[in-house]
Amino acid sequence: METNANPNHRTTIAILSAVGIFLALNVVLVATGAVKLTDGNFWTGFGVIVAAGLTLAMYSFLYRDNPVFKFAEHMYVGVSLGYFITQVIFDQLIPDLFTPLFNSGDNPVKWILIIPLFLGVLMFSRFIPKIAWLSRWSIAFLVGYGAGVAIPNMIKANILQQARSSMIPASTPWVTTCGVIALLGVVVVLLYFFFSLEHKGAVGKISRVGVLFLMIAFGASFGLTVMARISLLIGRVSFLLKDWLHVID
Amino acid sequence: MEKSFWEKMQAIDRRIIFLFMAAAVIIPLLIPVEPSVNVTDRVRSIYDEIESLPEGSPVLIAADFDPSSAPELYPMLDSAIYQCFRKNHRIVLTALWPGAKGLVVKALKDNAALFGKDFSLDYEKWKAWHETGEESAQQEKTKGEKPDPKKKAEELKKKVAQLVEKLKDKDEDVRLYAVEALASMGAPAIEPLTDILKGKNVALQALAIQVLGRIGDAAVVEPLIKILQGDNKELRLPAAEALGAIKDAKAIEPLLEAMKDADKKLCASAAQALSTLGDTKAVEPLIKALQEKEEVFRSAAAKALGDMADQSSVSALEKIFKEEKGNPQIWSAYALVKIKNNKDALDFLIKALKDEDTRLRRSAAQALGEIENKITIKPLIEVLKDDDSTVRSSAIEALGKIENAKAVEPLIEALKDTDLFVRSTTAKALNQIGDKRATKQLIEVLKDKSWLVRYRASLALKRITGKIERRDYIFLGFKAGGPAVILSAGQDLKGAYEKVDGKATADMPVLKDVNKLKDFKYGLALSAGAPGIEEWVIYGSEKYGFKLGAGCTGVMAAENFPYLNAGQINGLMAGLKGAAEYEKIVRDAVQKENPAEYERLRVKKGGGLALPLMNSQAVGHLVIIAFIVLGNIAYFATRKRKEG
Repeated sequence: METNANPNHRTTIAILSAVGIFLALNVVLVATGAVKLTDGNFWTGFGVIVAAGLTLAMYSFLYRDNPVFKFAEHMYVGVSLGYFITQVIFDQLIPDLFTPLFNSGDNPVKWILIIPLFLGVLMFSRFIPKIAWLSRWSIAFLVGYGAGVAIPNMIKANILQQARSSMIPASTPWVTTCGVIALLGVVVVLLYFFFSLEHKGAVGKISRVGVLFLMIAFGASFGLTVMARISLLIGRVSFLLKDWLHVID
Repeated sequence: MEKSFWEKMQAIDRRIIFLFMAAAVIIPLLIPVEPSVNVTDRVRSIYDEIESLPEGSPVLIAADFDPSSAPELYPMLDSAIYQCFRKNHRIVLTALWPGAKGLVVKALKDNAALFGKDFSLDYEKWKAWHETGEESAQQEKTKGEKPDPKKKAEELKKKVAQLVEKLKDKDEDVRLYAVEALASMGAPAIEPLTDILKGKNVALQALAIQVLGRIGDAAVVEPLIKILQGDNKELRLPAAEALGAIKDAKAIEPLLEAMKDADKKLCASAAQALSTLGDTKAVEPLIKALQEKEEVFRSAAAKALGDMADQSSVSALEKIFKEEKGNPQIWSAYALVKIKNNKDALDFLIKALKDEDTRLRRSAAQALGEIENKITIKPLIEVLKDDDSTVRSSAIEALGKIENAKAVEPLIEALKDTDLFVRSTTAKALNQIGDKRATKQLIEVLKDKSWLVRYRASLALKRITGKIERRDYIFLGFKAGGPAVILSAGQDLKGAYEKVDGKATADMPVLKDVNKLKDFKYGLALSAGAPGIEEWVIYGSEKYGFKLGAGCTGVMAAENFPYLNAGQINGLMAGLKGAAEYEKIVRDAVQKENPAEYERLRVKKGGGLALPLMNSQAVGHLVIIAFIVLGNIAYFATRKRKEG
């Protein structure tokens, strides 16, 4: 005698039921006027229904992996890619390259844009193995430009200014204590990552303190990450309750 | 061996934990209890900095996030815009993330709508206020009543029916009012107006078509096409114009067909409508139309080709410009300026403003209005003294389209013109320019004998006293490149963002005396990742020296605290909690300083965008902590048994 139903069969029933309930609920929402599809509100109302459906489809993964989740996941990837491509064409290539190059009158400066256009085209040489090396010119330009711009500015903002602030005389005993702890933390963590010395004896003990500092930093980051993720969950739940179901103001 | 309680706890189905989390988030949202939010110094310093700036200071807000992080960052953006608007600062927004566009526009639109006084646009209200005082009596009667959606819908239906009746009124003022009111109503007016099209009153039908065109709903395209293809000459012309205004691709073929009609006025209207649809199919017939006999058709075709900026028509247009006289020459000159920025053609149009022929002076002014070039302002102002009222009106319309502050004083003078259409066009132009200097004179014009003048003056006043794009705020849009964009704006902001929606940033009052990043009195970077706060600090505030505050997602907070501690940013809003703190300070200040404004804010935005979510945040954290504690107890309680 069969005591357990097939899990796949059970998932199918659960999904079909959820989809059925979702559709029925939307019919009720449209009929009661909570979600408006008339009087010029069609696309807004339809957008709310689609967004609610996709939100629930994504959260259905919490029950278990299922085709509805897969559909939403693949759709997300496809839409993101489509959006990215159109954005590159309409927000970057057309206004920043094609319009100034081909539609800006007789301004001679426009011809300089041929250089980035040429470097961009070279990137596509990677599709042809024989001339793939040409793309290195574009990459070399990017790396050179990136390093040249970033290094002096980053040294100023992220090293010199940061070091300067830790050298300013502290205003209160609390600030002094914090400064000492920060200095101690920097030294012990650096020692932990200094592998030229064997982590034994005093070095071993100090590097263990370094691990402790690292764990505190990771804990703080993790705590803030949890806070952020809950905020996103609240954002979606708030959307479902407010914009879709209209059960809260 | 039977499992102990703690062993069962360790093996608990993860879905039960998810259910607890869902309940922890949903229940506090359903039970509205005011959250307790303590405002930290790092958030208060951002608020204090914006408050301390002198009125009219330029403030930069960088919105570098997209909808995926909107729950945390959008409330910060919304509150920052609101605070800047309250303080009458000039806001300049940028986005290094493409997904920020829609969010920035929404935040600006929502907040701008909270400012600006109501100068009463309703004809009936105006009449009641000035004649019988009925309106105030009616308002008193309905005060405190709760709105009933069914009743509201019935009232709306009744109002539409009344307005449709007013379209038949003998008084032109009343008919004008009905047209404006029905057009602003949008969708609810479509059905009754479409019903009018089935009737036989041609004058009424023409007005209905005009309104339907202004509503711009694609649903009416089919009936309008039928009229365009029908026999009634008086209706075909407005139908072509309405189809051009609706901009639906279904109208292209019928409009192309209409260009072959014997009625050349209809051909001209169809040509103009096709140019607004921008379909390349229209180019060839339009070039052919340049050789037609009728001047009106040739002129319309030249204008349409200019509007479409089609390069292939240049030689045909140049021929007309050199060989012909009259309106075709004016509009071919216009097209040449539009297509290839032809200087000779522009000079010709400016010269034509002084032509002996009234028709040509009027057309030249109209053409210059469409070109929107700053150098035409002075000659257009001179035309305001023209003997012909239609020429004056066209010049005023042109000045309104150019939207330059230099025209304000002469336009204020033009409000006293003897011709009602000149006065109403002036009020419309002042609305477009949105300069506060016109406030006093526009209030005086509210007593004008013509309804149209009063109506347009009230619209201008509402806009002027409210927040105006390009004067009080501007969204410079998304620009790709991250650090490169910041570096470029640091050296030459107006060079980095030359145009916004086709308007040159160099002429925008909001950017007066703001030529580089250093000219901003304060910057606020709201960021969900890279490019974001780090880039604004490294390539912006540190390099060019301006004060910067920041807001970020919770995930990013830890990496941005060093900037706060080093004084590289003066404040930091971290995650939803930071957003709620900032929102609380702004709302508390409004409540304390201006209860009436707070009431308006409360009606529009409820309890806020971040504050009502804080209870869910707190309970969600408590549940997580409870599970961590339980998990640890279970671990220690079962460890010995497992080891044994």
